[in-house]
Parts: sequence; C-alpha cells; structure tokens
Amino acid sequence: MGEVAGPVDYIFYILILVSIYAILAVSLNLLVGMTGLISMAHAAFMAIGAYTTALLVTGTGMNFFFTVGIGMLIAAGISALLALPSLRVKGDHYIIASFGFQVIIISILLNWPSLTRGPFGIMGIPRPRLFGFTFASYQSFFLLSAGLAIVCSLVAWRVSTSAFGAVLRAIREDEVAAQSLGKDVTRFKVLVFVLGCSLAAVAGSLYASVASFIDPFTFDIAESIFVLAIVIIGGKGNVLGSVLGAVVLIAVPELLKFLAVPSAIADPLRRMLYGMLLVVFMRFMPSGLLPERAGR
Amino acid sequence: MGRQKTLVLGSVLLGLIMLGPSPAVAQEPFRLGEVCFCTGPAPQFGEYCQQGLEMALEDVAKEGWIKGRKLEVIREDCQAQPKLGIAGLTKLINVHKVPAFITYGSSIVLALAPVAEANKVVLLNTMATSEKIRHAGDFTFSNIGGSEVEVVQAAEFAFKELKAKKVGVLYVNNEFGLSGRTVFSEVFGKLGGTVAAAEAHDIGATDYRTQLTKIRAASPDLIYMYSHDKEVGYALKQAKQLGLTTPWLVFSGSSAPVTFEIAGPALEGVIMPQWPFDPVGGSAGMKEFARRYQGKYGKTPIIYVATCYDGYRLLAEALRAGATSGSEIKDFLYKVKNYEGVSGTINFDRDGQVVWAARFMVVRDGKLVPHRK
Amino acid sequence: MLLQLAVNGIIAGSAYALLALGFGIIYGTTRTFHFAHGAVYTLAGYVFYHSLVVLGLPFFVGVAAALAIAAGLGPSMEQFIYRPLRTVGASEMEVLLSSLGLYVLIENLIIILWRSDPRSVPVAEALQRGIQIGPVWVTGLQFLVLATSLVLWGALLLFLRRTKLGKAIRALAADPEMTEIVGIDERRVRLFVYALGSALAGVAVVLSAIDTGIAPSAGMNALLIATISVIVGGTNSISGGVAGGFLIGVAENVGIWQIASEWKQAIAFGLLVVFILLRPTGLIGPRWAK
Repeated sequence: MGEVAGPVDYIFYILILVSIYAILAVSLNLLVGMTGLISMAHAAFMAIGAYTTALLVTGTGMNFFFTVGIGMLIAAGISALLALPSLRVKGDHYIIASFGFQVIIISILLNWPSLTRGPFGIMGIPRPRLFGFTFASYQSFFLLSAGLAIVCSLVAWRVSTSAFGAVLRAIREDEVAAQSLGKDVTRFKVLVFVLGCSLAAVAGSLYASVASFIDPFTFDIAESIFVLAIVIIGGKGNVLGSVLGAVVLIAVPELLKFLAVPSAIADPLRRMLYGMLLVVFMRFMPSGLLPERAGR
Repeated sequence: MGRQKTLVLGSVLLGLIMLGPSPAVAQEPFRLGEVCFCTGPAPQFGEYCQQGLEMALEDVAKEGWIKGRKLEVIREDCQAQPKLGIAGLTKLINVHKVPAFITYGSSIVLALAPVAEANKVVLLNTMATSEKIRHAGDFTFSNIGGSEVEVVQAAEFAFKELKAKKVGVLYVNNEFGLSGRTVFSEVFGKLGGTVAAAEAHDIGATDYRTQLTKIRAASPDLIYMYSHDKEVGYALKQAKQLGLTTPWLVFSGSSAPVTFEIAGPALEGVIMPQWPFDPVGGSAGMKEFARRYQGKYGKTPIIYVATCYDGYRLLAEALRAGATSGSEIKDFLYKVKNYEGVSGTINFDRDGQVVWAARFMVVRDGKLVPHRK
Repeated sequence: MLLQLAVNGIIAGSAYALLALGFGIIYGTTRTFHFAHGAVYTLAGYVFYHSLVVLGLPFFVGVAAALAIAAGLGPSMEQFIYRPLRTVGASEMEVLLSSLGLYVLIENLIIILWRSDPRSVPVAEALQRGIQIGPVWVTGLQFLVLATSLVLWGALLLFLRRTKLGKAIRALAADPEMTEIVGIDERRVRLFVYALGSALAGVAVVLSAIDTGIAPSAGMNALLIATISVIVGGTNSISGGVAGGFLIGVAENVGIWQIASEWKQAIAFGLLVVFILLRPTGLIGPRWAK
C-alpha cells in the first residue's frame, strides 16, 4: 500500500491527485473548451479506465502499463459507439444525453456484481511495476503520474495548435459555417470525443493504483461536474489553464484542510466555493484564469 | 478588466478564508483517531460514536487522564464512502501518527483494514458486522457482534422458533447488508428453508414500495430485513401502507429510537435480536450508563453508543498499560479477559472478534420485550 | 403484482408530471437550462420541513413558506444572474454553467445548515394509511398527488390559452424577438414564468416530503426526472412534459417487474437516451413553430 512516513508524503499524495485531475481537465478541455461539446460523462470514462486496471491487475496480475492501454481502447470503443448517434443533437440535448451516459455507465458498474463487484468496489489494487521496480512510495508514484500528465498535456497542446484544433474551434464558434466550408463536422467531433475519453481512462487507471480502492460511487456525477469546473475556471481552450485549474481547485483547499480541522463542514464549504467560483467566473471572467490565446 | 480581476481574486480569497481558521497548535497528548460518518447519508452513526466518545473522555479525565497525559481523539469524516475513508486514514496515520483508531461501517472497515495492517495500526470496529471482518487482518478488532453470529442465530430462530419455511429478504446494498443476506440464505437453506425473494435497496433510501411489492408477490412466511435503523423504519411504515401483514424479523440495530420515530405503530409485533447490552434490564454498569446518557441527551442509549464508549475506554486502558505503538496495543487487546464494559463482557477471540450471544425480543406497545413462544 | 406495480407507476408518473410542469414552463418559454431549479426545489422542501418539524408551525404556514421562498428565489436568479449574463453577451454554455454553479452552491449550503441525512416530515398521518381497492393498495396521499398534478395541469393549460398573460407567455416561447415588437414586456413575463415554475416545484416538493421525506440530493433527482420527462415528452408543449412524466413513471415501475429493482434509475435514463437519439422532438412533436 505504500510506505507512509509523514507530512511530506501527504504533500506528494496531493500532487499526485493534481496530476491525475490535470489529465482529466486537459482531456475534457478538448471537448468542452475547444469544440464546445459539454460532456457530463467524463467521470464515467475515468471509471472505465479505473475498473479495467483494477480488474486486470487484481484478477490476472497483468502489468499496469498494459492495462492502461486496454483501458484506453475500451474507453475509445465505448465513446465511439456513443458519439456517433449522439452528435446529431445539439446544445442542451447533448448535455442531457451525456448526463444519461454517465448515469447508465455507472449504473452498469454498480449493478453487474459478477464483473465489477458492484457497490462493494475493488480493493487491494497494487502499485504499478516496471522492469522490477515498484512505484510504491508516493514520491515515485508522483514521477509516474506527473510523467503521464505531461504526456497527455503535450498531446492536448499539439491538438490545440494544429490544423485539427483550428477546425475544432471553428466548429465551436459556428458549426453550420464550418460545415459549409466542406469540413466533415461529425468526423471531427467523433475523433475529439474518442481522444478525450481515452485520456480520461488513463487518469482512471492512475487513480485506481494510487487509491488502492475504487467503487462506482467514486466516479459519480459530482466528479464530472468538478472536472468541468476545473476546465472552465482554468480557462477553456487553454491547456496550461487546465493544469492551473487543477492546482487551484485541488491543492489549495487540501492544504488548507491540513491546517483547519472542522472536517464536518469543510467538504460542503469547499464545494460551495466551487459553485461560487463558477458563478463569479462566468460573470466576470468567462474565459477563465488563462484565456485562450495565452498559453494555448 | 483590472477591477473585474480584483473582484474575482477577492472572492477566491474570501472563499479560501472561509475554509481556514487558525491552525491547530500541537501539544503532547496521546492521540487516537476515528474515521467517522460525520456527514453523508448516515450521520446518525457518527453521532452515536461522538456521544460515546464524549462520555469516555469525561471518565478518563476524571481518572486523571492517562497518568497525567491528556488523550485527544481526531475524527476524519468519510461520509460512509470508502475512498474518503482511505484519505482520512492516510491523514490520521501520516499527519497525526495515531497508533489506533475506531471506525465502523462494513464497507469502510473492509477498505481500511489492509491500510491499517500495512501500517501496523490497530483498527477497532465498534458497529460493523460483515462476516468478512473476522478475516480482515491481525490488527482489526471488533467489539460488536458480527453478522456471522447474529444472522446465523436469526436464521435458526426463524426456522425453529417462528416455523418459517419461505422468507423474503430485504437488505441494504453494501457490504453490511450483503453479508446479512448471504449468511442468512446459507444457514436458512441448510436448515431446509428457502429464500423466496431477495431485494436490495440503497443506503439512505426512503421509498421501498417497489421492493415490497415484489417481495409480497413471493408470498413469504416471514420478511427478514437486514438494514440500518432509518431504512427499516421507512420499510415497515410502507409495508403497512401496502397492506402487508407478513411478520418481520429485523437487524438488531433497529432498536434505535429513530426507527420507532419513523415507523410508529408499524413496529408492533416486529422481532429483533439484541446483544447483551440492555439499558433497562442489564447489569448495574449498563443501567448507570443509560441513566447518565438519559441525563445528557434525553433518551435511551442504543448499543452503538455503548460500544464506542467501551472502545475508547479499552484503547485508553491499553495506553495506560504502557502500550503506545500499534503492535503493542494489538497484543494488549488479544490478552483482554472479561473486561466489564457497558456494552457487555468483552473477550476477543483469535480473530479479534468479541464473543457474545444474542437474545430475541419483540415490540409490544412500542417497547422491546423478550420474545416468548 | 403487476397491477400494483402499474398503479405505483401511475402515481409516480403523476409526481414526475408535476415536476415536468414546473421545469417545463421555464425551459419551454425561456430556453434556458435552469439547472438551479433543482436547488429551488430542495430549498423549498427544507423550508417546509424546518417550518413544520423544527419550528412547529401549522401545516399551511409551512406550505406557504415553501411556496413563497421558491417563487421568490427562482425569479431572483433570473433577475440577478441570468439577465446580467445575457446583457454582457454570455453564451448558452456560460449561462448553464453559472446555473450549475448556483445549484452546487445552494445544495452545499443546505448540507451545512441541515446536514445530509434524509429528514422525514411526519404529518398528515391519516393520509398515509393504506386503502385497499381490489387487489391494489394506495394511500390517500398518493391520490392527492395524482389529483394535484392533473388539476394543476388543467389549470395551467387554461391559463396559457385563455388569459392575456398566458398568451404573452406562449408568444415569448414561440418567438422572443417578435414579442418586443408586439409590445409585450419580455422582462416581466420572464420573471413571472420563473415564479410560476418555481412555485410548481414548491408544490411538488411539499407532496414528496410528506411521502418520503427530504434530502439534499432531492433536487438533483427531481431535476433529472423533470428533464427526462420534458425531453421524452416534447419540449415544445406543457402536455408533452406531463405525458413524458407518466411514461417514465410507468416504465420504471413496470420495467422492474422482470428486471431487478436496482436498474430502476437506469430505465429512466435509457428511455431518455433512446428518445434523444431517435426522436429528439419527443412524444408530442413541435407545436410552437420556431
């Protein structure tokens, strides 16, 4: 379960969480920020990665890194299935449909105990191993998660600055216009949806390995909303913004929890803060902390 | 733009300030931990344990603390969610360096036991009853009777005393509920009975009409409900509304006042097992405890207050005996012999489980009385 | 059993229809996805609970308080949050996200004030006794829910068709730009619609609280059901939402006849996804031309 020796380890634990949510945020940003597809199902795709890794590693002893790949493939497959028909609908209906996917996917995880152990979750998920080295300590795990976060951010950044990304932005601004310019809008939307959801699965695999325990409730709608808040507050369409958003929305409240003690109130108070930030940002800083052109 | 940015940053700061009063200054008291259900879908359990804790600390203080050194208990809220429980326990171990902690909730206990084991920290479970806890680890103890004892006795009672052949089981969808359903089905089946229907519900649910309708369709002789206090209350109430006249056998925790509040007259005739803890007819120590609790909180204590009280007193005794590390406390607990707690006489078996026998009670005129044939 | 499940379904459906009325009038008229409607619903429920159980006030005072808070809060959100956003040219997504932020804010405020365990409102005990009708059991309260939703549905239809304000609302829903030209005070009509929809939510939550209590997540569940009912039924007509509500209620309760009860929620969402993909205009297609 990882040797835990003191407060320094706890700080690394927080940094690991930041890197995991950074992956979630940059991948959701591809959908929400760049393409204007508001998805409420990101936590469900994180769950797919988490469960794939958890089940394969505890059940068959497969190496973590292979499970990440498999998790991405499964997430890609499911998202492709869901993407094709649902992308015919617009705006509010799309959001509600993604809501529906989130609930259905979690419902399946919850109510298929023979596969997923249902509400009891999966425990005792071991740390990843590579060529004989186990990422047991929080410090070493952080190297892994930060590394993967950097890779995912680079992928997102590459998309953002490429011609592909330009088309995505065009779709966000005016889908009809983009269509009239001869771009196969549906193909672009499906591709970005599949990419975003696959990266979410990577975050899930990481989370399962560091938390050592997952259950369907870990990935509920509140998680999806939380990642959405990170993307919006960090700055939609800005990769660095998503990372910054993750830092702000996770690390700062955690460090404060470190000092303060009334945990009964701290959690809802923290979420009130997210809500307030969303409202305030939409009114005064809708482009987020780092606006689109700044860090791409 | 500048003014807007200031407003935003101002509100961020305001929000952050909302979260943090002055940092706690560390002293040198003994520290124990609790991973509690302080908020979330079932905070009544956190409340029971808080009351037990308060009374225990009062008594330890009266005895001059632990050879002059104070005792402090740090509670981390898990809201009945294992993932938050693990986060809270991580903090208790890393930051506060507790050698032992109390927790409850079968799902929580089972998720935290491996972490406790790896870190050589004692986990004392005061309310959870899953039959898997027995095998959860060397450092895991329970001072509450487990389902493998209660449910076995309930199944036998149902078949032999109540002469039921077909039972409908209604259980909460978590480790606790599932253990009840599994053990009951096994034992009842071996005796020759059948479980005609088994319906699950979510923790905190208030609508049971669907499950009750399906159970009714299976025409059972008896309904066995293995779930928490409020949930049992709602289910009984709605069963009455649906005109269900089948007799009920329920989990021991349904003796809680809140069940009576919610179910009212629907509780009449319901049977439930109870552990040795008896605030009315038990030992002098139990009655005194109940009197004191009544004075403080204005009602009769339920067993979980007593087990939490005993849990903290036991851990304090371990500290007093010089056991300061997790391993030393573990050894102390295994050696406990006939400790007279307010929840009953405590002895731990080889798996760290308390050894108790259940007695069966029935509700008559809103009160629990012993069940006679 | 099937008959009882069907009856359970119709009763549940009428409760959903009531939710759809409140949410639907707001969504249908303003085209704003008023996520915070869920928060208005929950808060009204807690006001009702608090008045009756904590403060010991009489039943009708509690109901009045709940309705008043709801009818005040909804329009306030339009006036102080949504309208200023529209004025600075915010996009639909930005309005939706602030509505989401409002919802999160209020739900957690409720948790701080009242904790998150479900609270029961033990009133009207006489209404909650089971009555047997043939092979089926219902309670007086369930009849009340069915009656209330049907009566309010009828009243709302009449209001929209016969009164001046009602027609102004329909005009606004059909063509917002046109209303300016025709001289309808769009601002006032919008505020009224929010008040009306929120008050309807207040009625719904009071009935629900008496039946099965109130919890902080009640609003989210209610909102989801209302949204699904409105989309399945057809976003362009009030009756669509009602039809959608009944359909979902019956499908959920009868569906678990053969499927395990755990899948109840998934059935509702499954229907939603099917409708969105195959028939986005819902059961009752477009009536107000866009």
